[in-house]
Amino acid sequence: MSAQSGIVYLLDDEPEMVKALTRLLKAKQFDVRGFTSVNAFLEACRPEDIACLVLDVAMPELDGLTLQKKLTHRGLLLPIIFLTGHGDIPMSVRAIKAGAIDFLTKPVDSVALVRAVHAGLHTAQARHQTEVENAEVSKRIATLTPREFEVMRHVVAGKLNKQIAADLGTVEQTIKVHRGRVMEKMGVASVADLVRAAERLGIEKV
Amino acid sequence: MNGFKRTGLTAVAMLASLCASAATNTLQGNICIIDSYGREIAPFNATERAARDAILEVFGPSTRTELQVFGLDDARYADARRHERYAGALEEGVPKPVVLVAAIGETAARFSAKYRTRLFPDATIVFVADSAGLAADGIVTTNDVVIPLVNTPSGAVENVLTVLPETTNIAVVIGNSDLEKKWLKKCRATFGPFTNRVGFTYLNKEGLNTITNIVAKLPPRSAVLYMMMINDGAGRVYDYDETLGVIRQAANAPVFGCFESQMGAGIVGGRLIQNRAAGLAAGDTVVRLFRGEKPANIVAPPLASVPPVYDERELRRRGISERALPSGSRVEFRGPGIWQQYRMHVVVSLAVIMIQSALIALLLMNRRKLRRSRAKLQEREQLSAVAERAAKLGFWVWDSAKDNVWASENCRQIFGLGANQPLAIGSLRSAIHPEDRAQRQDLLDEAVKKMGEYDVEYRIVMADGTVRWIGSRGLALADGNGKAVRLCGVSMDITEHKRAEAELAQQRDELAHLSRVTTVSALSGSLAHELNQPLGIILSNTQAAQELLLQNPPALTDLGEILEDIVAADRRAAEIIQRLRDLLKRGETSMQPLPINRVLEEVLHLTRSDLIGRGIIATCDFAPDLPPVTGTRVQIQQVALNLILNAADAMAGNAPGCRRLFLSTARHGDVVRVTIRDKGTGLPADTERLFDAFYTTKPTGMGMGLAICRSIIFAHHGRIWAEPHPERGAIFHFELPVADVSVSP
Repeated sequence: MSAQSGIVYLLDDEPEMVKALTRLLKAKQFDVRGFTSVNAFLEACRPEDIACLVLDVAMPELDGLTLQKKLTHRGLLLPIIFLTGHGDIPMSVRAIKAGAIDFLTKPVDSVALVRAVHAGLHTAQARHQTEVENAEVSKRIATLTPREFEVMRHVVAGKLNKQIAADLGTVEQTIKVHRGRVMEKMGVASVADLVRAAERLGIEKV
Repeated sequence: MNGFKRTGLTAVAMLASLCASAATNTLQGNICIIDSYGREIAPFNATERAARDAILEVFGPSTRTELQVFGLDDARYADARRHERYAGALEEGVPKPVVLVAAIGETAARFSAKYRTRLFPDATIVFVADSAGLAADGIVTTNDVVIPLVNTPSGAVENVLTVLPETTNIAVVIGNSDLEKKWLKKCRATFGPFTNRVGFTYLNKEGLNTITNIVAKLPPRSAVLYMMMINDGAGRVYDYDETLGVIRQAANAPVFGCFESQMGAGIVGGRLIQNRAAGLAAGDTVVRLFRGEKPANIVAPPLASVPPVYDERELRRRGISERALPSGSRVEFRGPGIWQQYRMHVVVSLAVIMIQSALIALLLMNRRKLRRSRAKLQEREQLSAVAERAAKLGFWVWDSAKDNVWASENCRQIFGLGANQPLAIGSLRSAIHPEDRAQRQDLLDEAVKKMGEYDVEYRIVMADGTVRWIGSRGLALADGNGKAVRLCGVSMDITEHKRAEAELAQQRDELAHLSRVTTVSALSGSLAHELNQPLGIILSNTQAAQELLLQNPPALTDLGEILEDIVAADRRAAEIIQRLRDLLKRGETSMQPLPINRVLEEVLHLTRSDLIGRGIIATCDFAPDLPPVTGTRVQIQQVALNLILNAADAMAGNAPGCRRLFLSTARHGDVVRVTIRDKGTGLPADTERLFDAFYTTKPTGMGMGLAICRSIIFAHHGRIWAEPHPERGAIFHFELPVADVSVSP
């Protein structure tokens, strides 16, 4: 597999383990950053990075699942790959349910690890992309006037111009004009696209 | 002041006061004594002293009446101009208001009269002085009282000549101070009529040493008349008639004095100036006046008509017969009479006889006692032999000086010696097992050196080759010189004991092993994790290396380090496995010096993942520089493991974050203490029961864990106990003795 952009964070309380995994992943052309302390990791991690986290479940300072919750709270939506020395099924189920990408047992084979990292970065990339796109749409919507916004909502609900005019107490012609502007500002060609854009941001239908 | 005079005077005073007209009320105020000279000026200080004592007896320090004494220092410094200054000082110093003044001596009398308006305008003055002079100068008012004091040595020479009519020389001892110069004038004047009969030599110009020499070598038919010595002719100053004793000692002739206060200090005696009596009278007068009697009603007692008094000791010393004394004389200071002296001898002899008789009686009693105790001893010996046999003990005594050994019958039996076999210390020693000889000898030597006890166990080889264990306890006894000469003691065949001990140890080991296996198997899950760590490190490093080698060109720089890490991880895994094996092994007890901190750390390594898995955080507070303790590594680890796992179990129900385990080590004197504390459910009230066998609070527990821990710790000569933590949880302690040079199995 080829190199992929994105940072791979490693967090394990044993320095030897961090060293070994760093070597392995670096050799596989990943951008690896290793930490043995939770605090050091939290300081280094920035939300805007595209990154995934390889995490030892059993760390004395903080158990891995709790850390996952913490990260969520901070808005660090990193995909997490759990490593464990125990092969404990209940734990793995909990981890997966909490949104872990993968759950691997030590000694972890390089193939499995690399595959998981790829998946993690891929997810991270995708999330990032979604973020970017959502931001774009938000910007665009911000340019709409309140009237235009209202019209958009009705359009997205599937209403005809005539209906919209009646709801908003104006004439069809005016609606048509608004509609045109909305489409232009939102940068979409079809109503379907408009609907998708609205859904991104969770705008309520009328 | 003798009792007779005192009571006489007091009686007179009391009678007088009874006959007096109704007394007015008691005066309110303070009392002053103005003395012409000073306290140290003898013989005149006697007057002031007597007056003061008489007053203080009534108006002591506890009453509110204050008594102050002022001396005018006139003896050595006769200077009227000083009086003016004195008056000034006294004006401030008198304890106002002064209602009564005793003025002693002529100087004081005149001084008091002169300054009375300034110093004590409302006071009554009691004058103790030669009345003639005072009356003539109109000093005495109707408000005052006079105690006349004859102050001339008129009777002195007469006295000498009455007692020693043969006297032709009198050496007069008198000093050269201003006062004494006045007295010298008086003497010359008074003695004038006698100069045709006696030659007077006045020693006022001589120093004391010279005077002493002179009086030591007086010609026959001499006498010494001691007047006073305040300043001698050489200018040296003397206090309190201190020279009288010197003169008396040195003089080869009788020493006569002039003042009553000198009686008993070495003068022969005679008709003496009643200076003390005068002072007493003054004091009593002051008291009466204070109590409200009118001055006019007080009649001074007659002082001059006191019969002459003589010191019997001086009479004897100077060889003066009592018949030479004038009629009506009194003799005082009589020593014990002849009868009394002899009586002492008789008493002493009687006492000696009585003591001797008592001793004889004691000795007789002792002999009877001795006979009885001999009989008792025999009885006891018989009893002890019986006891010996019953307890399988053997008594023995080894006399090192004579190098022979006595052993009781039983003792011989224990050692397999014949009943009548002669005992030589050499052959006995050779019977001891060679391995035990050195230690036993060391202990013996030590006991001998320290004069103390010893306690030793050793093996002996019997005649038929069997080996038996003997336990001996002995005591070193000293001979008269304090050297250790004899050892006596008791020995016992402890072969059976030893056997039982060994069996017990073996069983304990087996049980410990079983428990160990059980405990360790409980860790199997986390042990797997512990092994997976190093294995994971090895795997990842290896795969990394493989990856690097595949690169084009192969990246070899890190390879060296990678391989090092692999080796380290491999070793780690091997260690864990080895430790496991050690724990699971049967393992005999082998006591070694152990570094307790490392031993505990190894246990923690073993339990690390288990603890993490349970969310338990272990904190260590190990004292640095702990001395090693004696113990078997695996067994100590078993104890620690047990306690740690118990603690973990106790905290299973705690909220995460509240599962804290504390381990600490510290030195306490000659033990090292390990403490394990948890925040779990705590302990029952009776913490001792925890360590009993089959005591368990767990549904699936066997209850042997703590019992085995205790057994292990006891075998290590330590102790283990538990106490509840005041806040929450339990604290377990165990102590192990610090490793010593000699370690006994």
